[in-house]
Amino acid sequence: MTVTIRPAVAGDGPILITMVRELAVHHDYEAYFTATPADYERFLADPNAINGAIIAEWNGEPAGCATWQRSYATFTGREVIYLEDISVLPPFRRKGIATVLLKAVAKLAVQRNAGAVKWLMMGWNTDARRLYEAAGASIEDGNCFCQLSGEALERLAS
Amino acid sequence: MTLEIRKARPGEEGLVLSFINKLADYEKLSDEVTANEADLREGLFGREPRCHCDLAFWNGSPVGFALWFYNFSTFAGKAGIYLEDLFVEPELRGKGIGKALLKGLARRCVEEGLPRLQWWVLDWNEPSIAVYKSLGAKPMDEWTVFRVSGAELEALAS
Repeated sequence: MTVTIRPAVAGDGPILITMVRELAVHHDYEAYFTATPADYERFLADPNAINGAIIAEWNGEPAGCATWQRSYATFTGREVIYLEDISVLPPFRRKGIATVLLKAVAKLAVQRNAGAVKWLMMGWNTDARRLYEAAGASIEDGNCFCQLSGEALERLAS
Repeated sequence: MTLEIRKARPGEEGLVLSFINKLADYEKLSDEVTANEADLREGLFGREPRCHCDLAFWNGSPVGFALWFYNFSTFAGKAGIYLEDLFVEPELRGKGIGKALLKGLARRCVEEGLPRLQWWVLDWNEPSIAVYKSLGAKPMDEWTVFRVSGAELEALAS
C-alpha cells in the first residue's frame, strides 16, 4: 500500500473538483461552491497560471489533493506559497496522505525559493490543527482576515 | 488638492520600499523587514512578476500605496485580488486616500469579473478595522492562519 504524488495536469479537472467539493461539504461551504471542471482545466492547461495542484494516489487511485497558489510577502521581498486546499477523500483518511501532501507543497516552496508556506484553517478543526503542528507549522496570532464580496464589493467599486 | 493613483513604474522600487518600511513601523514589525530594492524589482517587474503596486499622489507627491496580487478561489473557480499592503502617510490620513486605493481595487475586481477582494489586518488596528467594516468588508473570524517557514520548512520539505 503506497502513496504517490504527482502534479495535476490537464484532464484532472473532474477528479480535482470532486476532491475540493468534498472539502467544501466538510466545512459547510457547499453553498459557495460554484466552480466547474472547466474552471480547473483552464489553470491546469496554463503554463503561466498563478496556481496549481498536486494529486496523491493510493495504489494508483486518486485519493487526495493539495491546491496551491503563488503569493508574495513584501516584508521579506520573497514569494510565499499559499496552500488553498488539502483534501483527502473519506476512504483514504488516516493513512498519512495529508502529511504527504503537505510535505510535497513544502518541497515545491523550497524549489521555488519561496520563504514560507501559509494557509488558513477553520478554528474548530482540531484534527487538522494537530496534523499541522506535527508538521512544524505554527499559528500566526493577532490577525483578522477581511473579505469584500458580493454587494459590498459592487458598492465600493461604483 | 488633487489625488492621482497610478501603477508603480520600474525605478520606483525605492519609494515602494520606503512605504513598506513605514507600514512595518506602524505595525511594530520593523524587525521583520528584510526586503531590499532588488527583491522588489524582481517581484514587481521581473521575468515572472509576483505582485502589483498602485501609488497614490497628493498634489503630485507620493503619499501612499497598495501592493496586491491575484489569487484563486478553488470554491468559486475564479481568481480574486489579495491586498498585501495598504499605507497612507500619517499626516495625510482622513482625506479618503486609503479608501480611494481600496476603491481602485474593488473596481478592478468588478471590471475583471473577480468575485472577491481579501486582506489581513492586525487585530489591534481598530481604526483600520472600523474603516474596512464601514466599506462593507466582513471579518472572517472563524479562520486561523498557519505558517511554516525557515528551518521547519526545510525539514518538512526534506
